[in-house]
Amino acid sequence: MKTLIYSVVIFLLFGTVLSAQEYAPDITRIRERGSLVVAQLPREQVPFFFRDNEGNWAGIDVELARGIADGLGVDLEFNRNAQSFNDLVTIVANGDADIVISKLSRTSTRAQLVQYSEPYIVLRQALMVNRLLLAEKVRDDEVDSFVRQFTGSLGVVANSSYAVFAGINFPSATLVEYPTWDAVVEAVFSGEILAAYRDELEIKKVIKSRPDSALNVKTVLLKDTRDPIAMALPWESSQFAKWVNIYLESQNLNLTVDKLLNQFELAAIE
Amino acid sequence: MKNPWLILLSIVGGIVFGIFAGDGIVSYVAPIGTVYVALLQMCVVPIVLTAILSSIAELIRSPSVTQRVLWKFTVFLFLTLFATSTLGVFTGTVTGPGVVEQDQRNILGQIVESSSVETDYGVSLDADADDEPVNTEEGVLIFLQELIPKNIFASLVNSEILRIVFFAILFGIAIAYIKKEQSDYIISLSTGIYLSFNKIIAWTMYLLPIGLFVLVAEQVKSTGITALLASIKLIISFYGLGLLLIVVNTVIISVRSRLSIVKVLKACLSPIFVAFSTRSSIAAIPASLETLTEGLNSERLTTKFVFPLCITLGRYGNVLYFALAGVFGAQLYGISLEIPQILLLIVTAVAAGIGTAGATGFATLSMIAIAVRGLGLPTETLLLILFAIDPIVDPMRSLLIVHTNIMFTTLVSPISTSKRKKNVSDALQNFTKSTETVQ
Repeated sequence: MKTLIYSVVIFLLFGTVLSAQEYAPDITRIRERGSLVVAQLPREQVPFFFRDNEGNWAGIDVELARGIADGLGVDLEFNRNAQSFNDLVTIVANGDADIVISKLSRTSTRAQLVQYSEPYIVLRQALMVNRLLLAEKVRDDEVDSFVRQFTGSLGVVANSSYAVFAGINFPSATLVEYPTWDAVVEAVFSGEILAAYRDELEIKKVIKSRPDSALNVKTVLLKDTRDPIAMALPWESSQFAKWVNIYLESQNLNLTVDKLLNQFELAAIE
Repeated sequence: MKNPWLILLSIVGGIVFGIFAGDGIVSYVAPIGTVYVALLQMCVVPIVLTAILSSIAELIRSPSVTQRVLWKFTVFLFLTLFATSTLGVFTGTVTGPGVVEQDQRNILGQIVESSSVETDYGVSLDADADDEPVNTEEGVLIFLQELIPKNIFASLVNSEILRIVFFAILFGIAIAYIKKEQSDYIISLSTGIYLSFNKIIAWTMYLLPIGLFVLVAEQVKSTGITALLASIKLIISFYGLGLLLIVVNTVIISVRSRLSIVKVLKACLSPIFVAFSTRSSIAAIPASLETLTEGLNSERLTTKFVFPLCITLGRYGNVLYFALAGVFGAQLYGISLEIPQILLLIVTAVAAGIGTAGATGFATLSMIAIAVRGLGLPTETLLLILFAIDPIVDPMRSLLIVHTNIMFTTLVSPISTSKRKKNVSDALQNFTKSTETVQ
């Protein structure tokens, strides 16, 4: 929090000094509007963005959004019209929002439409495999090689980065898309699909929320995979993008999955 | 020192001590238990080797006896193993050890989740998948590979009991086929070694109460109470079955040896408690041999051959537990067992049980993979759960292996009608007489 205050002060100082000078056009647009429009999904993604006990949005993505708005000296506004992660990218590419801060994965496909900040957390990808179905396919000592050449039904959230990752990492899998992550999770537990594919954080959350889950599903971290979570900006907002990177660097976040879960999930429960 | 009350007292004392004493005190006295077990283990390899060597050659030279014994041995071994397995499977389907409440499921889930194997289990996608070929050989072939020692001295050094037994039998047979003048020396040498080590074992029995006390206390300390509560039905079913088997065994031994039930129980006390406290059936071989030949009138030569052999193959406690645990797993995962699966489980539990010959600790438990593979169960979760409660289950498994094999040996070998002879050559001469009278 201290760093946040310091950086706000620094930015305000910069603001007064520079006020006489001309800003980059992308930043000017935001300042003139008097608000930063952040695109974020309407459904909760603990611990990135979720409603706290008073019904206000909280989480690391909300904190970062507020920090950036404060740094620019403008109000914070959310655009929650997106239904999927890909929608978020479209919204910002069309100029309906200034930036996406919504646990968005950085993928090369999306990078053709928008530009990305440096990732503020890098998650590893993971599988959550139905144990009974897995036992039918392979023995315990063959799990590793099976995962590498995954065959069978693999559930992902529709229009999410994992639909793309699946094509790259598990080309032999039969991809099954579900509208929400909850639906994917249900499908794995009921045995409708062999495995669910997402980041380690979401999978750890499932395991934590269901005490008996380890009996039914096996989690497999994909050690050499990366799911960089970053902010997306319109390709023409080059100065704003540089500014955001400097802001992120000044925050010294060093985020990890466990740190995030401890910090925010406990807050959400209380 | 073999007073039953003293033994009971040391067990109860050990349990109380294990529950109420602090970790520090228990780990302070723990080395006493280790010393006691080491003393027993010290005698196992020489006794197994010499017991078989000193008996098999003599047995082969009286072919009618050998054939009869071997025939009985094979038939009875399979009959009793399958009976045990069937008993386990059917008891499981009746008592429903794996039908658990949600609370218990949650605890079992936590046991799996918190294990070091499962937390952060990771796979590298880039690793060369074909680097290590998966070992797919199973069953008979693996068993044969396990059976034959590449280097008998290495096997002796590493206490690989199954291989030692295999070697001793071959060696014994070979001795029977060399000239009598040459073979007599080896036989009398190994008989001498055997008897000397038996003496040592008899002395270690004075340490049994204190050994029991410490080992039981340690076991109580190492058992996770929550794990125990979550699988309490499995534990109760197994212990219930175990007690039933002990009763059945005792009755059979009593009938066979023509001794009263009380005498049989008393004679079996020391091997039973050695097995129970050390959690090792192998460590109880010396005490069992003494009980069989001295307390239960089992004929010396046959006993010395049959018991070490059958204790490596007749893994009754493990077979029973695998059968029961297979049903537990199926129920836990809501897999209904139809007749074909039940029959399969009965067979695979026996195979897995025999596969545990010479294995200890986690290696023993991991054999359950063989038992439940046919049912399509995820073996790793089952294994992690069973591992958590094993400090409670393992003593009973070892006890059942030892006690059922004592019963088995009295069933297979002739009953010695003569009084115990101190002198070896007397005993050897007596062997011919006694077999004549029995048949």
